[in-house]
Amino acid sequence: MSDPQNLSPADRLGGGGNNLRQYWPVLLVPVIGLIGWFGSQPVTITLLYGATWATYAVGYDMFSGFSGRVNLGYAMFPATAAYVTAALSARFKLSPFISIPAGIAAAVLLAVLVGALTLRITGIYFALSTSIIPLALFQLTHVFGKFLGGEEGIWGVPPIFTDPRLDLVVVLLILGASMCFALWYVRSKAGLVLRAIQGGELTAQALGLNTFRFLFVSLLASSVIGATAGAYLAHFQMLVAPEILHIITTLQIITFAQIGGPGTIVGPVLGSFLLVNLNEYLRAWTDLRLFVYFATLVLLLRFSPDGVLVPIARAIRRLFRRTGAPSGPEGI
Amino acid sequence: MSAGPSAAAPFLEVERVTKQFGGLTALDAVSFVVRKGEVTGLIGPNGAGKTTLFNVISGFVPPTSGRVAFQGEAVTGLPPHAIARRGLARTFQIVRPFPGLAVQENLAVGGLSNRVFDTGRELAGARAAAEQVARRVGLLPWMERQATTLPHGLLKRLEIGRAIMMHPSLLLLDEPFAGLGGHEIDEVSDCIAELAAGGLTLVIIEHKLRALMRLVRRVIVLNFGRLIAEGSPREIGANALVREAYLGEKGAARLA
Repeated sequence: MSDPQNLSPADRLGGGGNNLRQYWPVLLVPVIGLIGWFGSQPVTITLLYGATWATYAVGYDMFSGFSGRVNLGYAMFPATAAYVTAALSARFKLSPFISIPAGIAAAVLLAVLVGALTLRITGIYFALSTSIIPLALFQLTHVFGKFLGGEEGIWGVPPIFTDPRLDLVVVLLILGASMCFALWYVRSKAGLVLRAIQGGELTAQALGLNTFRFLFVSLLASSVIGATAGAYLAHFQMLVAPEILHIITTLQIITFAQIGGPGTIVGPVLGSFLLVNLNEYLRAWTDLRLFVYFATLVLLLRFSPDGVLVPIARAIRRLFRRTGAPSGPEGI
Repeated sequence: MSAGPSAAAPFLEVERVTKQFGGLTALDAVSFVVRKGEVTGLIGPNGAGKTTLFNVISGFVPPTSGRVAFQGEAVTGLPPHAIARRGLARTFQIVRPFPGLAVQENLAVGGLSNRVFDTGRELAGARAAAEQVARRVGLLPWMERQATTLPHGLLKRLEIGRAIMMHPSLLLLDEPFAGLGGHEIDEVSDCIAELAAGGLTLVIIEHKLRALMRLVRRVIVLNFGRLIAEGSPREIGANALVREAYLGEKGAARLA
């Protein structure tokens, strides 16, 4: 079945064309909602964070998983949205209906700047420059310490709901919408162009493609997804700490995506929920936890660059297909 | 051929193009014109500046001085994608299939516009157009194959197919026969001849002179970045300078 001369389904995802069936993995979202609604409060909270990270991972994957441009500073988008939202609501007492859109707008503005500065830089230097920008922003939180809270971050962001289950519903709606949009986007023409850019940007330009434009629009779209989750995080967490701008935040997102299956949109979601839950069991040993994460990331990059969860799911599906009715050649 | 008044006007105009890489002069005040519908050969020894000239014309390398005009408008300084959009396509000497993309997808990429958002109609249209082009260049049986796994001969056809997906009016081919064996050369040559018969203007860099001369009416010769001769294959074969710089006596015999 896995003929190396033919494309794997993951390769076909980008630009594969849209159909309704591709959205079935989004059904995972209501299932998680039910578990969180009827589960104990710690379960609800864990899933709340899981859904937030999963949304970041979707945003990261729709750009980096398809263009091959590793955005090592992805966390700057949710972080900027979270900071602006927190500052506006905690310091100026603005309503979340203003603070959240303003936070997202600030992150998109940042993405415009980042895109203009970095997207013409290729290869490792793109990753390097994107990784530096959040470090610069981190310093800004200290420079404007009075306003942005410095080391302490911003405390006292008013919550929107008192019941975390309602927060979970909102974040899951954000996740579900993000998954639908990202799946649609990467399976549309843009996904094919991003994969072509990954394969050879100059060749794509020789074919008349304005590769900068495709990368730029994709980066903005990916920033909106992370920023929406980040802005809401500020409200349900009731604080924003500067650690969100550390490179570790982005490395965690990349680990989640890499475990699930980069370039699949659904894989990073599965990876996020799996690891955030695992996290809870490992909570006692914080430092070791990160060590395990990053050791896993290195091993994955070496031994399973296509991820773990999606390849396993695919193998199971293949087993069913061999015995059951034939199904379509595409999809997850 | 019906020669209207515009048929004689220069289609591609290269005016005193110079390109220096540090102390090296890769192109030295090269000037020539290509007329619409013409098939021109570009020959010369390795390192003569042939590929650099293609890179300057297609916008991948800015000239140090000089100017390139296509269909009467200057294209010097435009980015490569903008030049390609005007109908000036090129292939690369070393084949560049998009890895991870099927043959059909490789072709389809050549047929896409620069609009990022698409309802699906454009993508479907490009995939359908890829089928048409695949039929013309003989790639139909391999459409679902990962492009990088194709043998070299088919990759050469993929390069040409992907370029004609853009419906260019001028195509620059950089060594379309490089690395091909006897009957493979004939196949690619037939394919190029068909494109020329369809009215496509072509400039072809090639070292395989016998195959090249079947296709071209006019030849330009570069040596050390200078244009040293220009004329029909017969005139070039008789040119003492060209014999000395590139052809040798045996090579000249092939042009006779």
